[in-house]
Amino acid sequence: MLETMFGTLYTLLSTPAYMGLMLVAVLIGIWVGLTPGIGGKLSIALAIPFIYGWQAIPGAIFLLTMHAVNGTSGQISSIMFGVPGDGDDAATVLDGYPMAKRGEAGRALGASMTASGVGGIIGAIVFALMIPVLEPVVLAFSPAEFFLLALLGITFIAFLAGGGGMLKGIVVGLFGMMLATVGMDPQTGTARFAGEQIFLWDGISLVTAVLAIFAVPEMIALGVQGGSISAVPMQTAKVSYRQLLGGVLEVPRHWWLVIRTSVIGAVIGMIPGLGGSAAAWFCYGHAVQTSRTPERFGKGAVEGVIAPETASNAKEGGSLLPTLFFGIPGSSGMAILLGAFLILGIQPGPTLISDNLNLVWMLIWALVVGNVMAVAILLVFARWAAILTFVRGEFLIPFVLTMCVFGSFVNEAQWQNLVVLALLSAIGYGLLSADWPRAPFAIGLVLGGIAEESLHKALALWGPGFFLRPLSLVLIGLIALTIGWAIYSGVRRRRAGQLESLST
Amino acid sequence: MLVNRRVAFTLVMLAILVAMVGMAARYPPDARFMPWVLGIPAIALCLLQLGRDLRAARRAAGEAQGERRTVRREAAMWAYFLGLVGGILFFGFFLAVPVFLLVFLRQWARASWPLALGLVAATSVIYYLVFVQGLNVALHQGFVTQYVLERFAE
Amino acid sequence: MKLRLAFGVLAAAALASPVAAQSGADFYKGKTVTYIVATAAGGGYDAYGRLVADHMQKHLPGSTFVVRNMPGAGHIIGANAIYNARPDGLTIGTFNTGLIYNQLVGREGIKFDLTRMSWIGKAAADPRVFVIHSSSPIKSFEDLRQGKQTVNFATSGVGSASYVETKILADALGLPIKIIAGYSGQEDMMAMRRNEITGIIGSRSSFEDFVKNGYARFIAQIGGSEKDVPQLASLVTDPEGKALVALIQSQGEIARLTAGPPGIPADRLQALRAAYRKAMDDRELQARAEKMGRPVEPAVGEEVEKMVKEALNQTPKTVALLAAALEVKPQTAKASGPLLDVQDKGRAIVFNGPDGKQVKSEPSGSRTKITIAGKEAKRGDLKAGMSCEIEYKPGGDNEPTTIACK
Repeated sequence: MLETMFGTLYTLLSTPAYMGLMLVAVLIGIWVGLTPGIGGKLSIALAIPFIYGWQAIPGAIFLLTMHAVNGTSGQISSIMFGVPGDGDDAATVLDGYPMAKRGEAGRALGASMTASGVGGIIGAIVFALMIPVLEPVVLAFSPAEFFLLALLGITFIAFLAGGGGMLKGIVVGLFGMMLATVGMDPQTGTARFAGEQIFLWDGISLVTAVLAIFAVPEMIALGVQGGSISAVPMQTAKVSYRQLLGGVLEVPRHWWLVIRTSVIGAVIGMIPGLGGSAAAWFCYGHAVQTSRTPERFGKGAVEGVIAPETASNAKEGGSLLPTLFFGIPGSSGMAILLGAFLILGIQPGPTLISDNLNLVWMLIWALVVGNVMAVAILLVFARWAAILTFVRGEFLIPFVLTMCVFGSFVNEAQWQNLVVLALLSAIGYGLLSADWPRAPFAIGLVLGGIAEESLHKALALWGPGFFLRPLSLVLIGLIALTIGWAIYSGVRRRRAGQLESLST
Repeated sequence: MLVNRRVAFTLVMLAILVAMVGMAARYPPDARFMPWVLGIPAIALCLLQLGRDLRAARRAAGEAQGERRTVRREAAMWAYFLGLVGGILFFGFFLAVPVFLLVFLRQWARASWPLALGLVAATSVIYYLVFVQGLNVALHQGFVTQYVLERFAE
Repeated sequence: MKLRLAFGVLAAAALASPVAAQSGADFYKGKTVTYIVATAAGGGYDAYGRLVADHMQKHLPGSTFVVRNMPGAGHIIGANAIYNARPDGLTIGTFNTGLIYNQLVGREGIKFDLTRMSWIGKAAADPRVFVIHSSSPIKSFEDLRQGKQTVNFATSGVGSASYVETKILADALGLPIKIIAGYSGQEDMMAMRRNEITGIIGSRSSFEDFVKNGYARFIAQIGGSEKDVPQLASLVTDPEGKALVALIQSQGEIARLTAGPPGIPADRLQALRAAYRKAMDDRELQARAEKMGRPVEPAVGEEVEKMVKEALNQTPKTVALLAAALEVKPQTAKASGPLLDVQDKGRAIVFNGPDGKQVKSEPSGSRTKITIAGKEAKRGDLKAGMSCEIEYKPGGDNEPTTIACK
């Protein structure tokens, strides 16, 4: 076992062909991930025709690296412009963009990229460790647990709203969940809130919603307010490699958080059916909940950048597990990867461990090394990219706005999507200027769909007694704890004399 | 000023929630379950929030002044954004995006002609390469443009 | 006699096509053909679509084929786009044959008519199978049919092809199946392994590996040429059931189709069909398909058109079954007879529906128009025993639109 482990690492590192391939894959992945809305799935789907006839190992390494990496570069636009690349990046925007506004873009980027890299590595490690216990763990999660997990994630809304904004936060969260019900209901075949608009039958696209609620309003606000993204001028902010390094060092400083969120992210990735964006949001909520000073979040707390980034990269490693060993993709990106693997002649299934352990370890190492490569390249690049936050806003805004429009359209190429974008942007701007929290909206949108579907299935399968399963009871306990803690700390804060919370 | 910005927005949220709950009433019970479970408490909480906002508005009546200038800028920014989206819908990406960029850079950012044209040209080339050639996305052609092109093709 | 006629027609067509195909093929020199795939990039339809597009381009010299993904609304958006494209032969595409069900019941949102599309070909056959969890005591179709306990079956969302097929088979063949809907993608396999559900009716290609790995077994099959599983058609005796099985079978035969909008000029259509045929015969395509684990079983042109037309020619009873399965309520149901029961001041009434079964219905205080002996009345005035004509919307609370009592 050990010799396969290190043997494959050695082979990987010492074969120039492999390393070269990975470098190319990393570069393409970064490039594709930079623009919002362009999912990595598209890039893999387009790469597939090129890999026909390749050997299994190089082909798999190439695709996997490309896929793992394009999650990483989405942070750049999230942090610098407040423009998320897709659903998970929105969590990074919450604290990353405020950091940029304080002139700390370099620090934020340093932290987020390192966090990504470390998260990806830990995810790969979890993947390796979980191989023997994969089956029982994955099979323990049924719709009942999915529902409760989603519910747990949603109770985090209570924290994110915090203090006196709790009322608004909950309303926004509920609204997000309601928007998740838009579309063809799988339980009854009713087109909800859509009617004849068949383009809405699949629901509101997450990327469009996230761009509309987070990115566009910020750009418009920036235009109204004038100036550059960073309120602090460049000289004062001291943009340099030092600032970047400062960010990088934040990751080891918060090592316990990093480990926790990576593991949670990997486990969420391992369970097919829970959905990809859930990992980043879940861990963001978790970071808020476990912090001793939760009010810093949303204003530029570096943990708010580290937590979602580790989680979303770790989940990639995790989602590789069911893909390889069950042939059941852990996420939509994995679904395409699975197709590609079949083309390459890789047969997913339990036999993979016994017959082709070599390949499995190669893939694990490819994830690790690829992540390291990506982070190294991006860090160099980031120091220069951060300067853009000091550029006059008027020059940035039109390009960012067009990027948003492209991103939304590329994601779902129907013109009606742009109408949705405009409408939701108006709501997003309203939220921003009336001082309503926006993070709960994203959580509601992401988790609301899973919650409802799982609830219906759980009820159909076991009736109302479905939560008497052991794992479910554990989750219910966690939910009760979370709610209790939210109320307790809210009351405690109010008693400590913070009258602001009362007069929103 | 009883109805200030915050009150207005809470009213908007309330209206949206009521509309959605109302629409859901027509659906079969299983389908309207979730929207109602979510919407009805949301309406209740929103009403509470409205109450809070109204009380706060009564207290802070003097703040309406500074808002006027911001409102004008806001309207202008929104006009640009909606202009972009509308332009794309009617005239397509190829026409609307460069025009938008150019107009914005000149009017809002007060950029010089060479700088503006240069930036627009460069970005247009990049967008074209990335989206049309690279990703093969079918960029919306715009209703008017499509109509015109089809008339020419005949 | 028919056979000879058919042969003659085929021979004539075969002789005619090279000539027509030639002028058509010239048209395509230097032109770009858009091949629309009604799903997002990366799935089975996308894989077949790109394969077909690649090779058709090879066999239609001078042409360029560009694949465009138009996902949404369960393939309806893509199919709409293909049907309504300009019929110049420059737009064709692929979508799920299951849309046949949607068309049969006239579902909303459909802007196509499958009988009028220009059929180019189909690439595979996709027999349906009954998959049962290996730990279940059900070892054969008879076991399932005779079973006393209700068995959980997983399907995709209500209204999808998998739901429709499972429901109509369960209803028509009287199988003790409880449908748990909403499993997308391969979640159903996970659910089976978790022991949540016992059975699935799905396409054989999706479950081949699953069964091979020992997690489940096949107990019946619809269509297809494999001999290891009994054909459902041989296990069903009543004619309605047989008709349904035939419908599903014909639908399964026409998998991975390629079609274009109605009205493509004959010579261009011929050229496309010829290119398709050559693409299917191309060894390289066949090899690539094998490698993907997606073998081809092609049919071209008129053959496919015939299959589609046959599939769309169903008896009204079948259509009614389908409508019920798709929960499409295109018309209101009418019942006339005595009110068997009136509860809660008229908020609920019971009467016999058009098929003789009892219907519990909830009149609305505001929306239901109630008349007794011609005069306007309220639901509180309804009494059991009154003889009434009731028009109601079946499903949910069966809310009546009008109640006219004597």
